[in-house]
Amino acid sequence: MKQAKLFRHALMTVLCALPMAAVADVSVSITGFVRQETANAFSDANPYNQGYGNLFSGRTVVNSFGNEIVRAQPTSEPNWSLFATRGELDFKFRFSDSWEGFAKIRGFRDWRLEDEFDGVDHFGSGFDGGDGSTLEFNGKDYMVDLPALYLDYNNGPLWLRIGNQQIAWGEAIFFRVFDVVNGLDLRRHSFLDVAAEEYSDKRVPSLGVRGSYRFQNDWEIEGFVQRFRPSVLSPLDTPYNFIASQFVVRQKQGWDDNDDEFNFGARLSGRAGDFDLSFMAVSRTNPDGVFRWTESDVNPFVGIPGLEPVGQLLSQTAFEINPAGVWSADEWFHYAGLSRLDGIGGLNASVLEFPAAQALGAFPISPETCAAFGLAGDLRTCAALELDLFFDPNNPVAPGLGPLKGHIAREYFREEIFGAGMTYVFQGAPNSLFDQLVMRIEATLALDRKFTNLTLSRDYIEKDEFVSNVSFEKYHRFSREFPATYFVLQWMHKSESDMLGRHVSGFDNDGVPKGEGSFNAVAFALQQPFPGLIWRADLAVLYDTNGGFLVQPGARWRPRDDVQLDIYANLIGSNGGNDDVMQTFERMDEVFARFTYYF
Amino acid sequence: MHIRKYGKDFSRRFFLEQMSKGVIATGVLAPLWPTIARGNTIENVYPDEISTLEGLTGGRVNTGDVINAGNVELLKDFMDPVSYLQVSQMGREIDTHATTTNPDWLMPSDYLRATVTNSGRARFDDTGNVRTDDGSAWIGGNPFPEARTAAEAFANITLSWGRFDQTFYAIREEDLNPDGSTAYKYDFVWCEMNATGRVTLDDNPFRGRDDTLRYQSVFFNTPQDVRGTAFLSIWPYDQTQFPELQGYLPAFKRVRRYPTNQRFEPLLPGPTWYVSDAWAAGDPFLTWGNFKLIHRGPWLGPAGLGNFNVNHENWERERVGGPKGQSFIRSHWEVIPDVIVLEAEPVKYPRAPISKRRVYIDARAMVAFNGVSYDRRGEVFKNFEHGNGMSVGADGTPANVLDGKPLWSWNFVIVHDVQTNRISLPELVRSSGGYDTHYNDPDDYNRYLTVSAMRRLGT
Repeated sequence: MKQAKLFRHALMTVLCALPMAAVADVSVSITGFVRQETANAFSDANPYNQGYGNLFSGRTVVNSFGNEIVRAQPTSEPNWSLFATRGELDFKFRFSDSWEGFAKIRGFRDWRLEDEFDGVDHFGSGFDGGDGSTLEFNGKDYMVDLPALYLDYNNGPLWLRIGNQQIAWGEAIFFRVFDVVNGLDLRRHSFLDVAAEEYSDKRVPSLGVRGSYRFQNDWEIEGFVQRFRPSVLSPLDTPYNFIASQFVVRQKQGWDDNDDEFNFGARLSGRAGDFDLSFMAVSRTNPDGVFRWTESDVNPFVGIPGLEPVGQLLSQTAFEINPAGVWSADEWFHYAGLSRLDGIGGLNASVLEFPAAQALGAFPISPETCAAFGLAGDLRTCAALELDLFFDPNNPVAPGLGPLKGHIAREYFREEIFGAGMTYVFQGAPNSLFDQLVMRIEATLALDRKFTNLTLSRDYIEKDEFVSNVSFEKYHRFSREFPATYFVLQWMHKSESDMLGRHVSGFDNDGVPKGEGSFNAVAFALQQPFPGLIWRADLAVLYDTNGGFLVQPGARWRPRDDVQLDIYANLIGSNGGNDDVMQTFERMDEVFARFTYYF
Repeated sequence: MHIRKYGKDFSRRFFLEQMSKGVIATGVLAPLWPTIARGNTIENVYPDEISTLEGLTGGRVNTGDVINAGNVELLKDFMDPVSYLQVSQMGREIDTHATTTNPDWLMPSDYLRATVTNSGRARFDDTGNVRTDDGSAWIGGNPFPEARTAAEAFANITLSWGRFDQTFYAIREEDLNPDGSTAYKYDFVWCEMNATGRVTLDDNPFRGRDDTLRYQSVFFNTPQDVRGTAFLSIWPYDQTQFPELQGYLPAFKRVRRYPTNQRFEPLLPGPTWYVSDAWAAGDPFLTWGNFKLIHRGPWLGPAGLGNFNVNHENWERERVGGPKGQSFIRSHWEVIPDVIVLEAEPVKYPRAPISKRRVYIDARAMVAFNGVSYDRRGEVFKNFEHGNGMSVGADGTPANVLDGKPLWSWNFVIVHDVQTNRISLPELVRSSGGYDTHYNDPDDYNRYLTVSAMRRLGT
């Protein structure tokens, strides 16, 4: 596998560099840590997963024909969402005043306590041979990568960083506005790590060159060219997956079509009066990607006389007969709502864009076609009828196919993003509310951004998207005994999609979306260190103005320089209606702890 | 020696008179600064009674003796309360040597030269800031080498911290638990560069920025979780204003601007020192107030030789005292014949945990060698003892670490929080985290003192 080879070569380069560096009198500094990370779930199982949470498994539903359908799949509630050991080793090389190098080796193994989630590939990316980043190899329950392997060159006002690296832009925390350069890797505890640590462990590194030049007046122009890497999703049926596992997500072709793409961009930043200003422009292939129906390429009737042509047609549709698929129209619509998709439109796209589906008798849902069933005014019931016709082998019309999995392809498109940001520090009377209050505003406009069509049609939604963030940040000392409390209050507005990139027209969804006009969220966080900074209490709250929330209280204990214990909880809730982003995570309530030994 | 003819009480009366008037005058037998300005050493400026251990103790403690629990009572009147506690109750021992009389051993040569050249040209403007007589930003050296007021003395110790135009200190710090065990170890770099008041480098003020006093950064290299943590502080020349602070935290992976009025808490878990403690003058001096003259007279403190370990490849110093014998740097002190003890209050920091700080200034060089902070109840909180001195070993062996010559620098700091009995011991080393100590390199501005440098140093 070429990726593994590349990784091994890179690793060998690092290891070989050590004795060479010693001989060449290069300064090498090595640090690292070993950490046990554990999360204990205490809410219902993840509904997006198959064996651990599908809401219809074992449940009886009555379909359009009055037949009782029981989704015959095992179900259980896992206890351990995460039980992993992480090791990281950093090497810093100092060759001269101008040249430095840095390498980080990261290993992560999930032990799958009590055999939960056994048999599931936790780390396969689904593309690029399964590797999430360029210098990575992984197995079902482990991954090892080099998230950083670069050389730094510094000469006067010029700085270059060459190699595998993450690039983080902007100053907003929690919300990503300027931070558009790298996608996110969600395989390690998804978004649910310590909020204050942001995405430092999540940004997908990639090979590239980053550089900056600072002018005499301290304005700085920074630019980068970096190989495109997609965001890495939590694999299906893993604890933090949020793509319904009745889908088969096909990512290989999308990557193969774009693996030679490069992102590039520039940022200008400096000071004007009392304001820190920055301006950015990026041309990138959106790492989040978009999804559409694709041919399943699965003929379940190979070798079965008489049925093989039917199977051949089925393979040219987006569906595959599979007991882990959708069993009933109720399930179809329920999961369309959870996935912020259009249950009727999705059915139509899977029919209209796949002639083979029509050849199998599928028909698009419209007042005209549904009039034949007397359902011209009730398209949802009409769609349910057609769906159950295919799902129910015992329907009275014609033998149905049984449960069906839908195949979707992930594709990537280029886009241009332009942005501006400003930071201002208020001055006030000592210890007053406004004294040293930091206000930040960041805003970007992405032109012709593509979003997944709610119908999973290949005709993607294309809109300009405006993203903005306003934040107020302050350290305030309430008493003489305790260090200052850190507060940040942020508001984020996205004109077209939520934090996961799902178009807001799919929100407020019971299987058929009513849509929202925009996405708005408020975040509040505070950190209260105790004297000596040995203890720190944290609280982070994310509130979607449509009614979802994440509350993350926690504490950090650092009794020595080589030991740290973090204990946090993720309390997630929603008022339902599939109109807020947090509903997607609402069954991921957990307590998580990390014990770290530094060396 | 003939100087004894002035009698034992001559010096005491000399200093008492200043205390009663609240006005400082340096030198006892001769005015200090004109003596230095003429290129002379200063052995004839102070009588033996205040410049030798023998003189202070009536011969019961001699130069070269070790100050320990057995003799500290004889010297307690010349020691700050924290040092006295350390010696009398915690087993700290302090080596001694003869009082330094060569002014070149009390500050860097270029700083001394600038102080002489620019002597008499500094004054306060209407805002309380120091200006040269032509109205420009201060041009270098001690603005008030013969400081007569507490404010002048504070200006001396604040406008130039390290006494070089640019410094790059590789530092290794251990933070100790009350039982003397090591709780935290950090390798970091502290980098300073003056924008105004330069004494060696050209381009004064730096790029014409007479509105900026200094650039200062600190970046951490170990342990792993703090590697890359970096802060850049840009001090306005106007001492009524807070410095601007930019920070890079590995968790954020980007440079962000921070508020700067939180100067009374450690940067990381473990250290007992605050940004405010640095050089006993860590804040713009006009954000403090109620300056008072507390004491004048001889005192004991680090200066001269012995505080630099020429025998250790990395300059690391021996330890002594405390429960495990490792709680204090084994330091070399001398009788500093002319010390100004000032007190100041953090008037612009109403929630600061300290009520006042006493600063001990060696009047010979107008450099602080100790700062003792008091909590809001008026109880002693902690000290900040600077191991100032030359890169010369206790036996006189020089380490030629700057342009082929020994250099003057701080060497270590002992920060002892006496209320929790936690101690921090940052010390200047040759190299830490792969970075070597060096001085007056103008390229360090681009390397370590800009926002893009913070980003590059981050991991």
